[in-house]
Amino acid sequence: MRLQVIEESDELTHVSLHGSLDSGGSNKIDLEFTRVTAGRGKPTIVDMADVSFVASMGIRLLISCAKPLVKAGANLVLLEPHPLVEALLTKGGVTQVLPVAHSMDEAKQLLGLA
Amino acid sequence: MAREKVHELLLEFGNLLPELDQAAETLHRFLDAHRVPAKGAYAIRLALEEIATNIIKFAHDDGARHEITVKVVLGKDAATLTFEDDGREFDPSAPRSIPSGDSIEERPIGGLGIFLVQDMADEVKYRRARGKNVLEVRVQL
Repeated sequence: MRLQVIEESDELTHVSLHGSLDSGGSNKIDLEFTRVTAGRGKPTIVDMADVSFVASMGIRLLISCAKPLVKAGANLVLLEPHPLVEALLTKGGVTQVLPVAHSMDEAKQLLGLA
Repeated sequence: MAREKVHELLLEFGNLLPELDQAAETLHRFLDAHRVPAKGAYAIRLALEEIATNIIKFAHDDGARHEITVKVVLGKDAATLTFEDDGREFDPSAPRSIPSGDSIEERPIGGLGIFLVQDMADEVKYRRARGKNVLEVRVQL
């Protein structure tokens, strides 16, 4: 699992994830992901297009970083998850609390930035 | 009489997350090599990840190394994973529900893994035998 920071502005945090967000993948990026998302406290887009697999430890990381963002009046949006990943997130009820966007415009709208 | 071709993989690893990572990578390559359809492959990988992580985190509290074995049998239409571990008695086949909480603030962070395996598998069967947990997970391909 690899994390890439695309934008860290006053308006927005935009990161992309690459690989498998399982227990190993989550452990690998935990500190940096938390720093750049919850740590910055900005509206956040997590680009999931290149994430081929998500398991519960990955969901745990996403939710644990989203919680303080919501508390701070921001939010975290998942952008373009793979269909199988989105199906898993839906089955787990995660999409009820973590919004999913299928375009950058939609993501920004969900964050109140468009 | 026609016989169905069956492919098998035996994973043996210790109760440490880095060893699970390696086992998961071996499984991923095995599934790719046998061209398992994407949806079935996802369910199989998820079963390994969630069941093994649960064993690693909760099955022992003695700090010692314990072995986990997972036998994967791939048939034409279904795959079966059989997990064995010598940890405390635990039945992951008991029905689970999604951890509740309508808002992000209320949503518990853990508790989802076993539910997802139960949802994605066709059958989850548990027994306790010779002091070991034996779990069979069947996934339609």
